Amino acid sequence: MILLNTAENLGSRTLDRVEEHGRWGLFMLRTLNGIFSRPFRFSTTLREIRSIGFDSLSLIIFTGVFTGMVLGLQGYTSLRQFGSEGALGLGVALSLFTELGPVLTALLLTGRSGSAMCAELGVMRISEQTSALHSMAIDPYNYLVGPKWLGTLICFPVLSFLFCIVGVGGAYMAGVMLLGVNHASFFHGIVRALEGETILTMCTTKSLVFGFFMASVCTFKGSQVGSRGPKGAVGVSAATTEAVVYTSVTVLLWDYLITSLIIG
Amino acid sequence: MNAHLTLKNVVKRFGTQVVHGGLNLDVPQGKTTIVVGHSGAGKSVMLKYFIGLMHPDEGEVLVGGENVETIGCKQLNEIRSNVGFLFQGAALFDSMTTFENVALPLREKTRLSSSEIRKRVLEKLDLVGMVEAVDKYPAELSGGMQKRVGLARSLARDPEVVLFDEPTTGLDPEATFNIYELFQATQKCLGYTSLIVSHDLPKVFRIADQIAVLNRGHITVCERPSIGQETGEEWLDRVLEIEKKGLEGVLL
Repeated sequence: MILLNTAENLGSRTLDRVEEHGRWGLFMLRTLNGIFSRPFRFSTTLREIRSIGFDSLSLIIFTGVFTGMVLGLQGYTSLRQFGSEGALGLGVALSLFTELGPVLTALLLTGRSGSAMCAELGVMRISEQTSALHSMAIDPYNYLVGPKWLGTLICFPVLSFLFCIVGVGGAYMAGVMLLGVNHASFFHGIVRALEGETILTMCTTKSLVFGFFMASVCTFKGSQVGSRGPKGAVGVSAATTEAVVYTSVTVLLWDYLITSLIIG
Repeated sequence: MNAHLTLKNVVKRFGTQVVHGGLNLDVPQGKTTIVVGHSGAGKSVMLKYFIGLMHPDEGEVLVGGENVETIGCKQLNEIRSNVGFLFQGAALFDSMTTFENVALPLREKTRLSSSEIRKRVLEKLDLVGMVEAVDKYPAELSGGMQKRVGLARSLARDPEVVLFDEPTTGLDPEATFNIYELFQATQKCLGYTSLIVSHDLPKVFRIADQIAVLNRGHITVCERPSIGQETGEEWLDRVLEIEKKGLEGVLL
C-alpha cells in the first residue's frame, strides 16, 4: 500500500512538472508573439530598462567593486607563493569576465528585479488587473510581459560588463594601490585576457541566457499566481520565492553547460 | 454589433463539481438583466464566458450571434472592444491615476488625439461624478469611488454591452443607491445592453427588466416582482421572504 501511494505521488508530481513545463513553453511562445506584434512598446521598454538597469546600477557597482577587491587580495596572496604576482590582472579578468561577472549579476538582478517582476504580475493577476487588460482587448503579453523581457535582455549584458569593469577597478585598488603589484604587469594581464574572443563571447552568451531565464521564469511564475497552489498574498509570496529559487538554480546549471560548450 | 447575448446549454465543471449543468439565457438588446443566485453558484464565471475570460466545457456562448468559443482571436478582440466589463473589485491599475485608467482603452484601442481622449475621459468621469478625482491613484479612493471609476473605464469606448460583476458588494447603502442611480442614468443615456450579477436583493430589482435566477446549475428567468408578489422561483421567493422578515423584525 505504501509503495502504491509513493508511486502514485511520484507519478502525480511528474505529471505536474510536465504540465508546468508545457505551460511555460506556451507562455514563452505567447510572449514572443506579443513582442513581435504591434504596437511596439518602446516607452514601456525604456521604463523597464530604467527599473531593471538604471535603478540597479549602485547595487552592481558596489558588489562589483568589492568582489574585485576580494579577488585582488586573494589572488595576490595565492600568486605570491609562486612569485607570480604579475599575473594578477590576467587571473582577475578571467575570473570576472567568464564567471563572476555574469553569474553574480544574474543572481543580484534575480533577487532585485526578478522578484519585483514576479510580485507585480502576481498582484495584477489576483486583483484581476490582467483580466481587465484582456477584457479591453489589450494583449498582456504585448503590454506587460514583452517589455519586461526586452528590458531584461538589454540590461543583463550591459550590467554584466559593467560589473566586470568595476570589478577590475576593485582588484586594481586592492592589488596595485594597496598591495603594490606592478601597474604595468596588471594591465598587461588584463589586455592579454581580453585579447581572446572566447572570454567576451562567454560573458555575452552567459548574460543573455541568464537574462532570458530570469525574465521567462519570473514573469511566468507571477502570471500563474492563483491558478495552482496557494492564492492571494500567500500565493504571490510563494510564487516570488519559487521564481528566485528556480532562476538561481537554472543560472548555476546553465553556467556549467555554457562553459563546457564554449571551452569545448 | 448586435448586442444580444445568449447562452445555449452551457455546461461547466471544476473537477467533479458541476457548476453549470446546461445554462440557457437570452439577454435582450438594450435591456437590463439581473443574475442572482447563492454564493458559489457560478454567476461571475457565467459573466466571463461572454468575453472569453472563461470557457465552458460544453454549449454555446453567443454575443451578437457570434459564438465566442469558435471565433478567432481577432474577432474575439472585436467583441471585447464592444463590451465593457466592471469587475467585482473594479480592477483598476494601481500604478495609474484615475485619468490614466479611464484613458487606457482609448489610448490603446482608438486613434483619437490626446485632446479628444482627454475630452472623452473627462466626459465619462463627469457622468460618474468623479472629475475631482482625476489625478488620484486607486489607493487614494474609497471602494465606491473605485467602482465609479471602473464604471467610467468600462463605458469609455461607448460599448454596446456592459457586464457588471457584483457592482455594489462592500458598499454602504447610500453608495449602493448611488451606483444604481448611475446605472439607470448611464443606460438611459448610452442605451447599452447590461447584464448585472448581484447579491443585492431586492434593491437591485429597481433597475431590472428581467431577472435570471442561477440555482443548482440552471437558470430560471422571471419578470421583476412587485411588492409582496411571488416570482414562482423557489430560491428567489425564499430569499425575498427572508429579506422581508428581516426588515419587519428590525422595524418592529
